[in-house]
Amino acid sequence: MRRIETRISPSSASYRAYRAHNLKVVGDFQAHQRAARLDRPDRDRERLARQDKQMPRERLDQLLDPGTPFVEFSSLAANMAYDGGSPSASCITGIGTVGGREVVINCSDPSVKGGAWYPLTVKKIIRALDIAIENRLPVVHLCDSAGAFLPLQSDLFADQTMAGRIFRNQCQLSKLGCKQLALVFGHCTAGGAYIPTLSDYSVIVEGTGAVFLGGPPLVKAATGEEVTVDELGGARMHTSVSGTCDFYAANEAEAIAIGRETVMQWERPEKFPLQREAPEAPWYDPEDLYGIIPDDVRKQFDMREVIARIVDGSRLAEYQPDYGDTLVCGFANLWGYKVGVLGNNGVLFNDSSLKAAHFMELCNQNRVPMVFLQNITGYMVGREYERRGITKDGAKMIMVQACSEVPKFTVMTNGSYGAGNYGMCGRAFDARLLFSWPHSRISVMGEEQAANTLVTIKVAQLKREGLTPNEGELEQIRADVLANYENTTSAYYATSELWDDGVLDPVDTRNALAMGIEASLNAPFGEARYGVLRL
Amino acid sequence: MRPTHRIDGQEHRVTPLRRSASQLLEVDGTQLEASLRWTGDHEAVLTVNGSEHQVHAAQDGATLFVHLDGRSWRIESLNGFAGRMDGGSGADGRIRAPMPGVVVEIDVRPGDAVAENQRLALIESMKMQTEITAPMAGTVTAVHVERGGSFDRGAALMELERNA
Amino acid sequence: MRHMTLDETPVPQPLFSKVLVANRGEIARRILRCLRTLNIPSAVVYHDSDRRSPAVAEADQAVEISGASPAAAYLDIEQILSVCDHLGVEAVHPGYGFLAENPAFARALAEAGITFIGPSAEIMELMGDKIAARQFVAAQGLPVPPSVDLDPADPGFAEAAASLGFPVVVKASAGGGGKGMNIVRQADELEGALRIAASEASRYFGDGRVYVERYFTGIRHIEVQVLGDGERAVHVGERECSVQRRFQKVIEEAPSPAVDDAMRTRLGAAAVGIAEAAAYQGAGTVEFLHTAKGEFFFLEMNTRIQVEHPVTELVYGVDLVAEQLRIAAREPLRLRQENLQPDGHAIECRLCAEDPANGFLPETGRVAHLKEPQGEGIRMDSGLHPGQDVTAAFDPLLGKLIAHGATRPAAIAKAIAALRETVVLGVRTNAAYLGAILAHPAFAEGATDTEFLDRHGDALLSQAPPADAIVRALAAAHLADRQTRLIDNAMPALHAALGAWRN
Repeated sequence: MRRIETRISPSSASYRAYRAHNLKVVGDFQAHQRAARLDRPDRDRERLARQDKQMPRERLDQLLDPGTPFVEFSSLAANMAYDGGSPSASCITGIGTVGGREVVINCSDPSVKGGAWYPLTVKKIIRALDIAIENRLPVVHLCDSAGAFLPLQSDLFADQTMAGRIFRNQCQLSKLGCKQLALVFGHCTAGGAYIPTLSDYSVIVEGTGAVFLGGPPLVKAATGEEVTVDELGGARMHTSVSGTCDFYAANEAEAIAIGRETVMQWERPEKFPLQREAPEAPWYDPEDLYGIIPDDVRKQFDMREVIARIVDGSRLAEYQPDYGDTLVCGFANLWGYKVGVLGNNGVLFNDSSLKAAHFMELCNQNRVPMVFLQNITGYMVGREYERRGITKDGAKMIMVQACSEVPKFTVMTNGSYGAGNYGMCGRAFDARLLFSWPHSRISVMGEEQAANTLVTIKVAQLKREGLTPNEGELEQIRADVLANYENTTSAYYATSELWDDGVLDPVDTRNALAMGIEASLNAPFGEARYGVLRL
Repeated sequence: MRPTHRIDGQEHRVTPLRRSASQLLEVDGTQLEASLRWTGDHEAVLTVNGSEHQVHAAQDGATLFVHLDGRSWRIESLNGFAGRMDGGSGADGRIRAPMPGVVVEIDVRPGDAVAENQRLALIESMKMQTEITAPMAGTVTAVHVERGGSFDRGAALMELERNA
Repeated sequence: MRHMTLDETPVPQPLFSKVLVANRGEIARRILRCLRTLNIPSAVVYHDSDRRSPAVAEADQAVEISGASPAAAYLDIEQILSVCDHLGVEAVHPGYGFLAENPAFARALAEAGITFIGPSAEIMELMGDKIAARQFVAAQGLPVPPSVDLDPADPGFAEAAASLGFPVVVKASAGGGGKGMNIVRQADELEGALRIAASEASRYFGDGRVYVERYFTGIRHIEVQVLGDGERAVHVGERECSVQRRFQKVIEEAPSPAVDDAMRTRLGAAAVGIAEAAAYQGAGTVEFLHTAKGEFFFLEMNTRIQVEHPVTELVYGVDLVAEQLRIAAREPLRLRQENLQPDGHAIECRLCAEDPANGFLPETGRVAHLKEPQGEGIRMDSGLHPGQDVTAAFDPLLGKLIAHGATRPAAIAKAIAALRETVVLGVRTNAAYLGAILAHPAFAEGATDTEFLDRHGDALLSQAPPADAIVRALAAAHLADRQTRLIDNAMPALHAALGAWRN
């Protein structure tokens, strides 16, 4: 394993220009993220304070072990939806430790519309529980939600991947032996009542915590019965009469302490014995990434430079260094863990596709997790390549990738277009975690090509209507098309729609991936078995 | 979790920032690298920023007794909730009946100051007598039952106000 | 220096066929250690709360006794007599406190044909009655503090008391060891103080007689150790016990920094004179008060082994308990006055379960861990054991740390170092406070009198530990915390290494 020799120079003009550009990009991202996490109207803060409730991040801070990491998922979920009415999709999810045990967190955010579930809230919770299922992780739910956001109920209730999926996933988790703890800080009404009830353990806070199928107004409407919240589903009733909840807590701090004590009784998981060396920081400063990633998504860069800022000692045992050179493959260590890295250095050709398929087979054979670093415009098009069977070779790559049983991790480092997104383990291919860098773009084809295609279609349409746009009108059409396209291809849009597990500052990539690898060791690595390969 | 400790009524914050072989701690705003190597059940070597100190330590619930630098320290950890998961009477100060029964004796009256674990009443249920004790030090604010009276499970027997 | 003071001469025939120790804690262990050295079969009585104490383990035989309270068990003469009878005990050592100066106990033993290790009941009675003791000593021509010997009911009493000059002290005749004393600072308080003192005295000692003495301030408490075989007596030097809190001794030392050879000879002769006049048999202590002007007055005579006896042992190389046993076995005193020369200096610190920062209230708790100081010139007399529940049932004295050095500064330095090494975890102690006293410049100068702690107490208490020590202690507490260790054990190495990272 040799250290990658860097070719970049921090004193070069391009480095300095890129760095200035990327620091701004990352600064914007961090400002967005800070606002989504913390900016709340005083009215909502005061309401919670009046109810003796803490802000959700304060609860989380108390629950998690001090001095330990927390990788948060999708902090900018819903950032481009609902006119910004649901920051972070009104919930906090991630992986942290409680009593030294890794747990998935599902934390309601009552500071936004009482924690009501928007469609993307539901999607984010389901994703968190999917992560728990895939990695066999326990879950701690911090419940405080008003229930479904009624104006959008049809977008979140009935379909296969809507709210019911949350409870379906809870049942699957329990079946798999993944423990769940619910801390009931607020109301859990109707469907929400099943979160604590389907959890293996639950703690409920006196006064503010309540669990019921129908709240007092609904009960009054349905049967005429008049009943208080406490009588109907309060802490004392559920812990001493119905047995719906296990532990009574006088206040939030006590609930969290009981929750911590409960988690500390859980068996410590046997982890998959992935080969691990003593961790070592990258030889090259990860901050160089700001000077490596160009200021335009269309500009090429050497993925080895990126790999060198992510892996231990910047060392890579490169596989087939002289073959299929638009894809860099090799083994490396990341925080000590052995990984197979696949990174794009250009368009995928026949040889690079075959190299990818073979390298992924090696990763499966060696039981080594794979890290995909996407910067891909797609598979090469044209008569020459079709004749060589580029689709066939691409299909092999996709088949082996899709059938791989070792954990996969994907980072959108720049562009992700067309079938290249699939071959390099895009969202549809079940990467255990998928992160985007803030400037990255994702779409079925590149902006320019797409814009040109869309403009052609538009012009043809106008012509059918007997109109011929002049040069100025053409420019305007082009600009409109491009603006809309850019909007929906940005990392912000992707993360808003939960196409990823969050946007990352590039320098955080190493730690975030390591957290994902560590989490993946909670589930056994399966034996790979592939489908029919078109040879 | 926000670890807080108390020495002689004074509160101190100990925040671990990293927990490798040695922990990076922030103690009252000062950062230090510290590790503890146990050499016996109660004896250890504390290394702080590279210098070693002999330590003796013992724990009783949330109280840590530490002997270090030639003196003994009694340090309360304020994060533990040891002994409060008794299921019966909670920190709300309401003393509840753990089972239905009859009051045999009442030891206190409203206004009485009681110590933690002090007996408040004796109840009898299913031919078995059970002592009801104070879950915390405080003042009795109300007694809801009388001698010979019966009650249901979970009934509030008396109310206690925690000492300020 | 002299090492351990235990008598190492082999004794072919044990002095007694069996000796029962009617006491507990450190003094029981101290006596048992001596019995073992002298090959005397030993037995001890114990209350259930002392079941796991070292004394019970170290005695050849141990018999449980009971009582309305743990202390009451050790005061129960009937029960102890029946244990003696049952075990065939030849002699009983009462230690200090409990029955050590109880003439009724000595008589009851005598009637049962058992030797009481101590002076006769008559001497105890004489010295236990402070008025009678004063008169006895005064009759020897020795100075006693000016006092009023009239009955308080006498019409001339108030005037006589006032003529002493205020302040005066009202003492219970049956009191002693600092108990049953009331200081009166002005005339109009006298009548009330007398009434209270009389009522307290009859309640505590069953004897309402009180007397009034002039109260000296700025005095030193100096006492002389004597040994007498009934015919001849010797003194084993003096001890100074001026560092007191509410008449309770805190630190004792030998020799006294205020006593030179000439004064020692004078004091010793006075003490020997009293012992010989009383035909004293056993170990006893004659207490004097020493005024700033250099006058001496007799205070009282204690007829028991004193708590602070080890400082004398370390300085004079005499095993006082062994001497007690020999005298009780009717052996003539072997010690000759001219051979008893002080060597170096010894300091004793009384380690107590109490919280100096909180009005010295007694502390309770379970001893979770214990490490007693060791080293040349260090002696720790304690009855502590890990797992022991320190309760309010007994006196808060946990043990005594005694340090011996060639000079007083050397002894102080050793004592300070040993206090720092004394580890008692699970119950708060006064160890740091004791260390602060020893480190005080006034103590180093030997400027000790009975108001030492009144004068310097606040300064001693306000000595906050250095900030870096607090930080270290907190770090140690955090790392030692079971909660922290459970978390660390479960924590994946990666998470431990990442620390509080957030994306």
